[in-house]
Amino acid sequence: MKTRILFPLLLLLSILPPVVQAQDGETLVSETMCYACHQMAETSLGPPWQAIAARHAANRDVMMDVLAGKIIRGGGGNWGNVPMVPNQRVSEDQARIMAEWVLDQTP
Amino acid sequence: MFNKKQLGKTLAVFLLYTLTTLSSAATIDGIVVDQNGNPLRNIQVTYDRGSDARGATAVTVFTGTDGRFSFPDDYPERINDASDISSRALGYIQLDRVLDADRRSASVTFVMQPVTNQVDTAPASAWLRRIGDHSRQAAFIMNCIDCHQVPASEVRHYASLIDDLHASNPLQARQQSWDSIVKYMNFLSAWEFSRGAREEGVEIDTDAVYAVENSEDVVNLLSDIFDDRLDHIAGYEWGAPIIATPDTTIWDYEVPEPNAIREAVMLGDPAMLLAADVAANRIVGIDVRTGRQRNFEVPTDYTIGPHSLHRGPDGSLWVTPLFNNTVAQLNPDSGEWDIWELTTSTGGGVGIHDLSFGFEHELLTDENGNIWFSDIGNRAVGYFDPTDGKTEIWNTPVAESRAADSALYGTAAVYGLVMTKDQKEVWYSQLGNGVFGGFNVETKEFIGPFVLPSANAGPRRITISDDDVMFLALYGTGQIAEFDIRTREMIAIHDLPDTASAPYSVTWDPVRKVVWVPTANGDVIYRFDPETREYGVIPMPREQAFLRMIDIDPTTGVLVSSYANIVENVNGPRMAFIVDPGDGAYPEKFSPASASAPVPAQ
Repeated sequence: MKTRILFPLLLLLSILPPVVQAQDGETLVSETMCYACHQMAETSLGPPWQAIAARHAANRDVMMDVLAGKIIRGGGGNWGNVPMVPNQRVSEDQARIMAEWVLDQTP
Repeated sequence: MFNKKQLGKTLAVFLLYTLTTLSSAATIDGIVVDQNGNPLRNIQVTYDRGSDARGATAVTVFTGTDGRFSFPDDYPERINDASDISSRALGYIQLDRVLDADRRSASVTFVMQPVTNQVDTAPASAWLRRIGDHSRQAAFIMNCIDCHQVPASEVRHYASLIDDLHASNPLQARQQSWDSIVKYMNFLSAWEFSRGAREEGVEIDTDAVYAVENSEDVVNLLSDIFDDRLDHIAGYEWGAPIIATPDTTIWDYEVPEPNAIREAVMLGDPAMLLAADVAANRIVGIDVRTGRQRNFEVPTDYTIGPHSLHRGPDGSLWVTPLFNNTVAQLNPDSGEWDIWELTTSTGGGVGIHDLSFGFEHELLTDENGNIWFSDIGNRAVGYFDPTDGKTEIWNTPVAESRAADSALYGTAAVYGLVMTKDQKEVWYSQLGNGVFGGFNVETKEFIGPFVLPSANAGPRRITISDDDVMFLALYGTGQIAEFDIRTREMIAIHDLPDTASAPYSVTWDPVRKVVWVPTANGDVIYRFDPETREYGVIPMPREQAFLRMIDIDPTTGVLVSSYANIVENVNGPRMAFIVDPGDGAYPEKFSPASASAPVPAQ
């Protein structure tokens, strides 16, 4: 145990905004919580987007589909011992938009 | 011979008959058998009509001893081979379906086969038997199942991804992976509960809200018990007789995304399911006959985030949010609101969780008409006077033996609230430290506190019988506490048939004289009879059926509740639903078609 609640922070719940159904890569990446595991230039739970983009720059077109599939289904083996979580609520079209945005983040 | 007038009348009657016949809706019935043709009882048959259907999104019935089932409603749509009608039962798979339909009726035969592997039908709680130790299980439930089922299908899928790594050191790989998942879930939780509080560029404080504090214990437990692909489980039983019969029906009503559904009740004319959407500023109304949605926007210039719902004795709906100072009352027929923004006599705010429920599970005030509330923010109970808004609160005493567990707001959150029949006492539960107590609203003195055996007991929502016996849902330990308010003595603490089922709440049924217990991790509703101390179970037709509080329609006795998976990224249904146990206990029988007056023109 335990769960913790910080009351002052939760007071701010009084301004909850509605969820937006975005269709651009940067917003989708933000709204689908990718930042929980990925940052732009630094390793967090997962590899940084710049590193992913750099590694796959030579095979960008092929990797767009591969990454889109990985966003939805998760998987591991490329960046260490921790598999990526699946994101089953992301559609294939959304996953492709997000994958394209990731591959654009070359340093 | 007919004259012209008679002929006209006859033709009109004939045309009306023809049109009525042609447009008549279809009935659905059938039988479920095993491979040898033997009838199977207690099988769920669900007709999933889709979110655009007129009326319920899905309807579920059960087979009797003769294997037969029958849907109670007629359906305007054409039933054919493409119709999504399926059978489901714990430990069975559907082998075949034969559908014979014409315009007015459909007869369906299902063939089912028992299977050893229950992976597709066992609830998440079944997997927690692996923990073994009850106290470790309770701590785990309190940490992780606050917001989502464990192991839900996503969790099981992730276990298979870990296994796919074929790591040279599997234990280390599991620990690293589950550690990442705990951090990931902390992020999601902090995100969910700080909506609107974030400014661009400000990092999420993953230790701030509902964060797993002792993550090392959780990671070790996950690594211990989820050490395979989680694709095989056997031998799970409901642990109590299934009380569903061929007269039992479950109507599911989908709430369009995006939503963050919490409690649901049924009110109004025409009858509407009213569901609280904590992520918006609305109560979602769904006409049970047509399925038509009508949003009731709370008319404030800030979003209150509706959370708990209470039926008023006058048919109104009382709405409380989490953590801000607002109470709202909705007239569901007119759509008119009354709003109170509360400030205590010392100038402070309040964080209302529940208003006081009476034994009929509706709002019960004290004799002066004051409305009492549990204050999750200030660890207090209090009241406000709806005539002038006067508000007072009293901080609950700390139970010495749980002082360490009571240091933070979250671990001593004053949560559920009930009022005695004489309107002189309110009783509260404290989620997180296993404590409850009472408060005399006349003398303004606390009674207790009383300490449950486990600090991880819960307790969450509470309910009170017409004899002032209080029942507490012990979420963490998977039990029901039965406490006699009049003698101040614990009658008994009852284990649920599945102690990992995470009972979210309890509701006293004043006609049936039983307690209904919806579960967050067990995909079932239990019925507990305090006289015989026996349980019955109604399995729910959906996986990840994270159930909330049950309300009981006072006229028909149907159970009203919601599937309310909390974290947005977690799969699982977000619906309001109605269950007719089919026991005929209440004088009127519920039907979506007759539950409402004619739908007025919009």
